[in-house]
Amino acid sequence: MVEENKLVKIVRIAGGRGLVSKLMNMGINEGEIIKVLNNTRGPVLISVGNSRIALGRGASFKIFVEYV
Amino acid sequence: MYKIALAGNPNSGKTTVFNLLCGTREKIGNWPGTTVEKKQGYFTHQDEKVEVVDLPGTYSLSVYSVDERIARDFLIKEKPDLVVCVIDATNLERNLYLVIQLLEMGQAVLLDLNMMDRVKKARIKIDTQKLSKILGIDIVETVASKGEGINELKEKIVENLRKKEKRIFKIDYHDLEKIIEEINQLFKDKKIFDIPERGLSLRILEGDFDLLNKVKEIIPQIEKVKDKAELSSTRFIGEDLETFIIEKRYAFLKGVVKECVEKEVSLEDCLTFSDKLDKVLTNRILGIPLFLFFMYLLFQLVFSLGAPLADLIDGFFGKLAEGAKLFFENQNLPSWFCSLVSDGIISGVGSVLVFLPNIMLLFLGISILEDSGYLARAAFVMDRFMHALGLHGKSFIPMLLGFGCNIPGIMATRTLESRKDRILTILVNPLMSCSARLPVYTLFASAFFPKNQGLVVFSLYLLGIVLAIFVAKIFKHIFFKEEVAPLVMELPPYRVPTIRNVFLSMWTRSFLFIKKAGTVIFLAVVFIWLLSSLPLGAQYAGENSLIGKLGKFLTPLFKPAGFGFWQASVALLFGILAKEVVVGTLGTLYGASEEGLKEVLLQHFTPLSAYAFLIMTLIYIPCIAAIATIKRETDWRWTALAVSYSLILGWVLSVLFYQIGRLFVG
Repeated sequence: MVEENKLVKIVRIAGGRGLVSKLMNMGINEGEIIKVLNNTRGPVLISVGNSRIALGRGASFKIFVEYV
Repeated sequence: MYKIALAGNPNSGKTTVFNLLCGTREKIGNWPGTTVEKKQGYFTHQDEKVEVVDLPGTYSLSVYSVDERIARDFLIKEKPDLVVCVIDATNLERNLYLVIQLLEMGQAVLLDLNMMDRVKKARIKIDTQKLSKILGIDIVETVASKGEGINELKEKIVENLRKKEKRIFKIDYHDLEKIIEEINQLFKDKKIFDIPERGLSLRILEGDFDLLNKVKEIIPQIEKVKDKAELSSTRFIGEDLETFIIEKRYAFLKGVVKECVEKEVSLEDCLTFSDKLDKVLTNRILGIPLFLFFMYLLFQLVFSLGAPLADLIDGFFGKLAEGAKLFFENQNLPSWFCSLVSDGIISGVGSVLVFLPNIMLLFLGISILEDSGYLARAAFVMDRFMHALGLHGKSFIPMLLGFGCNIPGIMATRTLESRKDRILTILVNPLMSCSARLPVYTLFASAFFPKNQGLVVFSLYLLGIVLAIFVAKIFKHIFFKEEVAPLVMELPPYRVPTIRNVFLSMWTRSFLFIKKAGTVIFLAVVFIWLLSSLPLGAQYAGENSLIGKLGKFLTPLFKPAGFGFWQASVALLFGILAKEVVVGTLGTLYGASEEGLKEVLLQHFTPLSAYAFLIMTLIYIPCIAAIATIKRETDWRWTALAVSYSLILGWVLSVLFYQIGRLFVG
């Protein structure tokens, strides 16, 4: 799992079409730089652009990132 | 008359703008999903009458939930004369996504850059002139929370409505252009929702199945063409069409933002105050204990502060009833009239209205929860817990709202993406102790458990939650085998609740309670009084009155639960009209307001049977208004299930409690 407060870049979003397009419509796209603010044992809180989005653990596992 | 719509991302302030435009007081809140139905209002400016439709928030025209569908259907099918896109200007890129989708559909759009105060505070500069030029639409800056810029907005709305010219907005989709052109040809000379060809083509390629089905009726070959396009897209572009189109739009928007915005917030150094607060409030260890602490605080507020105020009102009603009786007797009015006013109305309605302070405090707490932005955090911290029930964190919001009233709770499930989650959340919502059950709990707890009043009431709230867990688990097991849908939810920034908002929202809801007391409860009480007084000659509320006979018919059913006397059965029966009526009925039957009522109840119930009665009140059959809402949001089968399971569960548990309890208490 990604460390908190480190910038990461989205490399790929896997998962069902519904989830992928929902995330994309919300601005969570490949190439986007995001930050994990809070990584609990349950959901994850990320910062994208100027918004904070909560992702369930399942959804967060489908987003592949690399450190920048 | 012109028709305009307010659209935009969730929590961008659409309803705040709507209220300012139309002078209405629709509910606003600092969490995504406050508005889940479309609302209408009107305003007149420069002799132009304008109808305004406030839509639920949506990120795009692709829909994942019921509330988004309402917005999408309106925007596509009803084609308003103008759409005012209300935008959170601190997050331009994502908020503009919906705007360009609308522009592609040939929709006339006016852009409202809202929350400009936060933009200035973050020292972001937006070149609105440039932005307006690139998008080809007018822009108004507002701070809706402070009412700034609304006159200018009205001005621009009317100006835009009057000018008829249509601009064409186009993004270059590179490799896809050929396919788009091909589909455009199919739409030549065909009018579908008055949307231009290119707009239709893009929606079809994006996978708008509703529209596809509609188009199929007119152009049968459309499906084949779409499938072919999908195939060649995966082969030659390497991505499915939807992904490709979304990416191209975002690429365009990135360019726009780069040109028009100076200092887009850099992620590295933007740990805002809100983020710091989240470090604590959504902390993996502290999150849940803090949430429970806040709930405890709310509970304390409702009871410790509410009780003395309730006593004051009770004293007032007691005096009123006495005074009325004396007054009427002196006036030589018929005795039935005196009885109606003092036994029926004052005791019946009064015994319910006594709890107004508790209910106001409860709504005060819920309003603060909603306005501060913490509500969405509660959903976040409870996500892990909710997974245990086969639901996810977002379902927690409807449940929390259910503590105020189950109806908005049930409505709030519209934001849930999965139908399974929605139905489960609706089915268990009535188990959340709503404010209408508070009077029943409080009355019995103060009569039978004066020392542990708070604990007893708290235990009932808890029991409801525990039962919700089990019921959700069982129903999920029986009806739905699917996996848990993933949680994706935006968290709004925290803000200090404004006194105006909080009190307005508390007052609106409390007023509904008072209104209910004056209508449903009033009528129920008069009806009960009538049944108690007939047939003529029978003793008022005696065994031989109509109501006594009715009650006695039901009594055997409740005997095993320890409250086998007809007054209790009748109270439960009429409680289906509204749960407060349980208290109202007892008040009318015994012709006493709160203090007097307690004494009478002590003669009929034992502490054991009183608690069994409370268990029954908590669980059995949702009130009529809740049943109607369940029916509207699901179908009659789920409604029948909600009614029957709650009745059976309530009966079984109260009987079990009483029978097992008897072994210990004797």
